[in-house]
Amino acid sequence: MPTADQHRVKVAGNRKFLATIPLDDYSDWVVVVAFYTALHVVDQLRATLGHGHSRGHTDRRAYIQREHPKIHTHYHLLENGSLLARYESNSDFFARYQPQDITDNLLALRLVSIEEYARTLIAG
Amino acid sequence: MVKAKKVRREFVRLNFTSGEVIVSTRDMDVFVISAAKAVEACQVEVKKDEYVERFSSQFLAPLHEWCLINADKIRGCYLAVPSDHVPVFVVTNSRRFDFEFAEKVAAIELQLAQAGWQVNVLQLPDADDESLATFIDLEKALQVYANG
Repeated sequence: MPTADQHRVKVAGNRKFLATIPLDDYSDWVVVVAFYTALHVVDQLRATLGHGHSRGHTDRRAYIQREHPKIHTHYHLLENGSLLARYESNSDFFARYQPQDITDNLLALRLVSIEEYARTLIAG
Repeated sequence: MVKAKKVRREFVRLNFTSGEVIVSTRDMDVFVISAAKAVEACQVEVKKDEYVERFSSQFLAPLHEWCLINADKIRGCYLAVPSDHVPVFVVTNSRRFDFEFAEKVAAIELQLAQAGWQVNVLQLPDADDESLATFIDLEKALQVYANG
């Protein structure tokens, strides 16, 4: 099972990659990478707190619902967006999310809130 | 060449009367399987004759009630075959993803989860049956709510 530090490295790598993706052309991939960044933040937090390891999306979601309801909505919106980004056609997905929705809501609000929440608990 | 017309089963449409779920005899098998799997996903010990009642009153009824409250936003609500969790898809009236409504979708998911269900409730902006089929098996899905 990955350690907290290994998850931290994944978060840093994903964040770096996220900054390179052209939003106007690949907004679907921006959302997918944002979700997987949040996922590793949660797993880093879980490992740091000694709450075991996530055994998949259902287990991780249940962990957030149970232990971290404060970030549940943020994570939920990223997961919802990621699912649509992965499985819908580009034309459908691009009609659903405007680039500004992604930067202002999914990145600046949802992802950042999860990162700040985890940072506080990890530091504490 | 003439394409053969695709014959597809309709959703198992559930009806609700005074909080009770009404299922037609034809649809009962699909319904009971969903109930069994949904309860199984919670990893709780429930007697066989109790799981349908538990699923109906503690999962479907509150979900349907929530759909009625948010009827102005919802075109349909569907439950796919439960696996290790119960997947619920809320189809909205708009082609755009509704961020404000998404907070309500997250809230009902959390409410059901805190009642003991392993659940994932997701928003699908204005999806037709073809798009829905990407996410759920139409043969076995339950329609919890339909607007119009």
